[in-house]
Amino acid sequence: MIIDGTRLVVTDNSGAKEVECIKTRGRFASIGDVITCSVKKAIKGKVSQGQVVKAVVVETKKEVQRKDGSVIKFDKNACVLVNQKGLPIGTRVLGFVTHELRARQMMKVLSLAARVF
Amino acid sequence: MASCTRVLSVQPALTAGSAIHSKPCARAALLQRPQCPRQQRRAAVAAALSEEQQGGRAQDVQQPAVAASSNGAEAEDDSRDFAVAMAKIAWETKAEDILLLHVAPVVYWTRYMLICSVFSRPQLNAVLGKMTKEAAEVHGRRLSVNPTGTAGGWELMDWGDVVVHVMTTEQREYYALEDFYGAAEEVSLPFDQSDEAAAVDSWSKKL
Repeated sequence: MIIDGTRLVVTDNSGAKEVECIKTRGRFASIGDVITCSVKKAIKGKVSQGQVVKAVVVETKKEVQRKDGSVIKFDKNACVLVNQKGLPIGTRVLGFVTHELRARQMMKVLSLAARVF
Repeated sequence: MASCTRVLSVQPALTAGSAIHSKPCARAALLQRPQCPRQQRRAAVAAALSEEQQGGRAQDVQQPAVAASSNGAEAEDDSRDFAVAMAKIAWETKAEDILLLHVAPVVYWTRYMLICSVFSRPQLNAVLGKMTKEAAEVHGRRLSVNPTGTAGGWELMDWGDVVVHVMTTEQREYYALEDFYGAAEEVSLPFDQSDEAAAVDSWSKKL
């Protein structure tokens, strides 16, 4: 459950390490939603500190209910940076990704992830 | 709040990462509660059904396993045929570096992954259009969302068991998907791409 002001860890190799959500579509964002963020911490890479970017939420502390009855939740809120057209800015997704992204038409992020649940 | 690294569910694959908590529905807890008459009726029906199934299983223990394996093999062959057909369409549309990977041993969410390179947006649109048309008319497979060709040089078509990546050469070099899925087995295609490339080269040299 991501709202304005939530800090998220960036789990790709774009260079950003931490971002702050500044805009969501709707009241809150969950896994698979695209949010607008401000880069708070970054190392040398494709984005710099203070830049405003789009990101796909890939991990949330708030649990996600699946239709088979199982529940999935993570230790942290995490996202992957994408550009305006939805292409990932980094080339690899380093953290966990759930297959809910497939239903949300985020297959490019899914294709670059090594750990899909 | 300190981050918790405990894994709640018993899933061997998750223990390494230890960042994910997944649990099945709490049926055991529900069973402990006193049941209402409706739940008791449901439980009785479920018990009767399970008894019937167990009685039937005693006679044909081998058959379901054999049927499941044959169905799996048929589905695998069907996926392979479809993926090869898509690769052939890419080849006919002058796409280059066509690579068909059998990724089922590597990832669980698809079986075959086709990657091909194009050089321009019209060619990208041609590949997308031909593939979606062929898939719908010949193979009876439809996409949930049709690709628009405006995604910045990387279009992806997801047919479930077959995923097709159509990329420009720049995007392909940048993301290096074939390196990422390097452990996947490459499937041989029924056409020779080197001949086609050589023919194009010789023809362009004549010009």
